[in-house]
Amino acid sequence: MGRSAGWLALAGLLAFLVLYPIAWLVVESVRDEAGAFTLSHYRAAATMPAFRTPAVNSFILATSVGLLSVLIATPMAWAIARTDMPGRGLMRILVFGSVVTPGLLTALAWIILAGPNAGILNRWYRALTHGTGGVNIFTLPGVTFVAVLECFPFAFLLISGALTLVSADMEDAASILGSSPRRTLLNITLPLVLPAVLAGFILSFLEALTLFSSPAMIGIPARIFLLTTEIRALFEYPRRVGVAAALALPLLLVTMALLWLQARLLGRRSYVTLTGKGGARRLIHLGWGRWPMLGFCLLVLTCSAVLPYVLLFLHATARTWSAPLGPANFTLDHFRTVLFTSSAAQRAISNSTVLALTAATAASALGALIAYTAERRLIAGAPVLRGLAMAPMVIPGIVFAVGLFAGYTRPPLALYGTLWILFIAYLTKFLPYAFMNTAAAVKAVHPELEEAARIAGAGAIAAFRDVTVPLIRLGVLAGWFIVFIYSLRELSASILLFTNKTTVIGVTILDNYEFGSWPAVTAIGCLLLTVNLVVIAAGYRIVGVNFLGGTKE
Amino acid sequence: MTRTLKSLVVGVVVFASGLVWLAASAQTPAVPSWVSDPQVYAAAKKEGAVVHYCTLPQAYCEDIGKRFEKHTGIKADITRMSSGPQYSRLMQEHQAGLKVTDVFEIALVAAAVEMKTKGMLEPYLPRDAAKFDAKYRAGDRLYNEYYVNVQFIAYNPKLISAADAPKRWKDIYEPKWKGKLTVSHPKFSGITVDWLMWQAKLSGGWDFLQKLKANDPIVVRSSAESIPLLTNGERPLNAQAYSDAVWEAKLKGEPLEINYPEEGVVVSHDYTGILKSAPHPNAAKVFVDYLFSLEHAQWLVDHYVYVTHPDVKAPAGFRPLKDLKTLILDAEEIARETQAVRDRFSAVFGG
Repeated sequence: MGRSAGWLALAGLLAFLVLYPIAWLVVESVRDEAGAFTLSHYRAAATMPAFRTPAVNSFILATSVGLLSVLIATPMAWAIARTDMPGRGLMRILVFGSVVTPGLLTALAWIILAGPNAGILNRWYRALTHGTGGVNIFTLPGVTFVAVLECFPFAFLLISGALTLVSADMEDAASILGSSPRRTLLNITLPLVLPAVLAGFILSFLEALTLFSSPAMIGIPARIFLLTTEIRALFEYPRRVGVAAALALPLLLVTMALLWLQARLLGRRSYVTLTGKGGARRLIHLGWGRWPMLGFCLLVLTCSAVLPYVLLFLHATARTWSAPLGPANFTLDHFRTVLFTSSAAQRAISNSTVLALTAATAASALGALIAYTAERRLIAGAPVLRGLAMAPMVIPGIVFAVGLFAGYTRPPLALYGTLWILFIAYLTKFLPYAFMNTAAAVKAVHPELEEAARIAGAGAIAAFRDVTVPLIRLGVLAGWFIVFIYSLRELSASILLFTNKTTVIGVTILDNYEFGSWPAVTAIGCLLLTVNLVVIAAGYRIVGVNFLGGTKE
Repeated sequence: MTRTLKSLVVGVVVFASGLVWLAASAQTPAVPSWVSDPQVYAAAKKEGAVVHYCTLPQAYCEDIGKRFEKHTGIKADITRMSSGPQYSRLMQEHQAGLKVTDVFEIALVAAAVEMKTKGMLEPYLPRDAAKFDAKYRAGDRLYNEYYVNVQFIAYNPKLISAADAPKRWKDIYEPKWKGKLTVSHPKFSGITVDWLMWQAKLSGGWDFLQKLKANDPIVVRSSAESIPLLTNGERPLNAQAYSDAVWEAKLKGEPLEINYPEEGVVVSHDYTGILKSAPHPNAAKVFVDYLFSLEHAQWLVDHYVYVTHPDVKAPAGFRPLKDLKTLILDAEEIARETQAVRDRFSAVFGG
């Protein structure tokens, strides 16, 4: 009895974390300035033409980003996780690199690369062809392109994780029965990872729906207005928080519908592939096909990681932007300013580090417990628990922040001005990532393993701790790292919740971009990426698992 | 290895002596000459801190904070925040009844007027405010300005010759500047509202928006955001270049030249005020005293900010406010027109 009370308390905590700010959001959406009930915000959101185009644009963007991300991530994940394609280790590192690059930096890099007049690629192309053609990043395809670079790594993580869990037994069985490798891939492997592919689509769709930096940096310049930037504008003058809330709540319904659809499509089939019966994974020989596959991976990862990194580094060490890069134009001043002179930057770096460490740890612990509770149906209403844990993902950060602000600025939870409010914001906002990663891992572990432990005399907690935890360790860690990286650069919620003393890295970067200080943006960006990479490398060495969900080689 | 160790030791010693020096120099001096009321000053020192938002570059904020602390021993927490987010923050603190911010400085006139209407502001006028140019003085004591934002034309001399560069506002609408311009969206940028109002006044109506659109400008959220696009050649012409953002780039050696349009530069208000909810009400007053001191005015003009004090000496190459032909609107008029201007702009450019 005491045990189930524990699970219930856990569910209660989750419900509070998620529902409390959402409840405030609902209140804000039906309350006028005097505090009386009104539906005028919904009327404004539904009828104002200013919101129609952005809403349509956002759905077009999110759908194309979702589809393209899966189309890119699926073959890439398969090639890296299951084949003998050369350079798989390097490709994994580059995927890390893409995951840890904040969208703002990717967008900045592509403005420098593909600006219609001065873009480096365009200048090269024109010098080569003596023509005037080229590409223009300030277009809808341009925004989509940068958004895909931002979103596909998350689909990759999910799909690659699932692929490594597919035991080769079934593939072998197919081969023995005379199936060609191609047919095995299409009829056995692909159907087995279908849930992950679908989840990858949903994840990148939702990511794209709530992106902020590429819509602001590339969308607005191209006069393509998207929901997130419009929602943010509603918090500025004239302030219409109610309308913002009324615009955001339907997004929450869309997510719920998507998740319900996913559960319906996949729920009835069993995808337990990691059983207690072993099963080795062998690499598939691609033959000459290795090379085009490698070329494809390299092309994508060059766009998402190599080029942005090189540009950021070069420009972070350039005295003037317009002068040619070289020894005469080399300086470390921008780093010195960020690290030693600017107290705002120093504060931001230390606050973000503290927040990322604590939020990642709390979110992965909570996420693991919830995933276990939900997947093993330890209490009634497990699907509700699942929906709750996923809900924060779809609410645009800024809107969620309004709910958080409204909820956590009044007694007994007056946390504004402290790091606590940011901690709660990060924990709640990123819980879905920790939860998803662990849930996938828990789902793949058949309860028979725990049952075996129970039969052998272990208690429920001991069985969980000694059997399940080691098996889902990989998923929990993957969740920890994603939450850490996300927290370190969080922007959209922080921007409403920070104060002088509690400023964070994401805010500092955006602020410098808006004020035209590209050197500071690149310098902070370089430091952020370095820290991310060092932390991941250290984690890899210490823990000895592959954070991208692959097997250790 | 030993060399590293040695330099480490030297570094620590230098750092420690720096700390000792800092501690020694932190001895509080007598009441500074620019303080309006010594009693308020004594109370301010007990409060010991002041929290301020402004729109100057962050590096300036840090310097100003250090200078103020050196004079008074009062810690000044100064953060740069552009006008839109700053307004948002002040309003949400107000609605939640939080006492966090003391002093604001905002370039969105309509927001300052709204805060006044809502009774959020504490009336205060520093003694030395009388020494500033009366032309820029606000009608009441609720907010005041000691500097203004000045918008003019800037261009990249690597891509546009001095002879060719626009010299009047109307020149920017010529078709030859197609694909060369940026424009700030008035929904995000406060000072763009009066810029647009002046374009309409000077060209006799709002048709200029269509001509501007035909030139296919990149739309940015703040004029400062577009300066790197100018210096790197992506958008070599900027018709909303303003004060410190431009000078910061120019001084770093980026290719950037200024034309002050014949019709006059567009001068936008930048208002400073104290909030009724200020957690450090006395320190806030002393801080505003400092903002209106001649010393601070001179420091600002040395950093290429257009202060409205007539006695400052401008650095070489910088045309001070009194030498410029200015276009300036009344705050109430801007506040009244802000929404209509935005709607007109959005109808053409979207958003």
